[in-house]
Amino acid sequence: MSHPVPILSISVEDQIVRYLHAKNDRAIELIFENYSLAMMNVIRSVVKNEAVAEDVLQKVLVKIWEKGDSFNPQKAGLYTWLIRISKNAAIDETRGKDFLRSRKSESVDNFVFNGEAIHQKSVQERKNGVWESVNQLPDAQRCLIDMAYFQGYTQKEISQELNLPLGTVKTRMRKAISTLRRIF
Amino acid sequence: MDFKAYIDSGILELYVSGLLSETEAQQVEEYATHHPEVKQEIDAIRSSINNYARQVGKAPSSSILTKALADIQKEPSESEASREATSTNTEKAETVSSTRDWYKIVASIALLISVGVNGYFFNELQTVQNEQAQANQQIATLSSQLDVVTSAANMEIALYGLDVSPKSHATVYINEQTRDVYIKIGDLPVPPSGHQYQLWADRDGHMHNIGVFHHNKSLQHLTVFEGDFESLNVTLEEEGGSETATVERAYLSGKATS
Repeated sequence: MSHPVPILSISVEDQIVRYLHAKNDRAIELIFENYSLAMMNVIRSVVKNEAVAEDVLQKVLVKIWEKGDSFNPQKAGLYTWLIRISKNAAIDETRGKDFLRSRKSESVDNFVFNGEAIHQKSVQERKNGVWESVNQLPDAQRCLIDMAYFQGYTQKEISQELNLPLGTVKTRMRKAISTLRRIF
Repeated sequence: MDFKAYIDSGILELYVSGLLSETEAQQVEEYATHHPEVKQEIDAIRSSINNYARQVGKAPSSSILTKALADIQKEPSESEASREATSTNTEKAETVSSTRDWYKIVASIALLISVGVNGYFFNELQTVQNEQAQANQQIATLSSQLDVVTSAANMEIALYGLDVSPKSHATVYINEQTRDVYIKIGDLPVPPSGHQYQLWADRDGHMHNIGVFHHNKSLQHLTVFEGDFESLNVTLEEEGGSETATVERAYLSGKATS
């Protein structure tokens, strides 16, 4: 006679912690897959230079690997820990170095331009149907998403940059995310 | 604040962007711990943002991950190589010095003990040849194991430790054409005397035997298993295996990937 075995649902955070403790480099792959966008956003908000941000993210992944077996989920959430390491590494990187500060001084027009640049992607990608999906996201919403998730802007900074009330930024951001969730 | 108002406040979007202060982020996590709806909302926002970023080429380049993994893997070997290089240089310097100073003496001694030395080195040569044959065998074994692990024809299923042994883990590979099943243990406690681990496939709530395996870290071929399953599970059983799974002693579990 056979018996069913209850299968536990294991969250990705738990999987990562287990792999970190076991010194299995699958942990780093899962972190990259799930959290690298936010980690990069934090790093970029500090160093404001794409190439430097990429170098810092690489160093952060190695640092996480080195410290991973001593990470205690009882003391801090995994995500907060990852973000803290990323931010500290980015700050360390900027000390004593002259970094370009151009990213945040870019005008709104530039972001709109960046949004337009997205439209100029390859014909092959258009054929794959990617851009039909992206096109469902209005330019204004795409601009907000770009600033908040790819350019390292806080909602307050977006409000100042776009000269919009903070409440409006929050509302539009939720709407943009809602549109994204419908598409992706 | 009810969870809907909390979700509508826009704090979760900020949280996912990574730009909340640490204190605020911890408050979100605390709130999410007590409100599964908030946790689901966070996961959904993160998932759609990640998908969007990948689609529009805004996700961090995979070369960053590749380089980081290479750094992780090469670190110990680099220091070993450095140590070896230092050691070799020192030995060379000592050899040159020694040769210059003691050349005549060494030559004389070599003449006197040549027969004994030749016999010694002949034995040493045989030992080295045996070791080389063993090493070649190991390389051939590892190479065939690597083929299994890296083959595109294989489905990979990660098994995670359950409450009995949370840190345990293993990986199962199933060839999608031949349905051959292999297991590689990452970490699993040494079984008590007279016991063995056994792999099971859970299909429609019933456990189907895939086979027992030895407790070591080499890749092991178990059997051929046909058909779909919901999950794979490892239990501790009497040596030789059981006909039914001992649920109370389930050590590992992993869901089917597709």
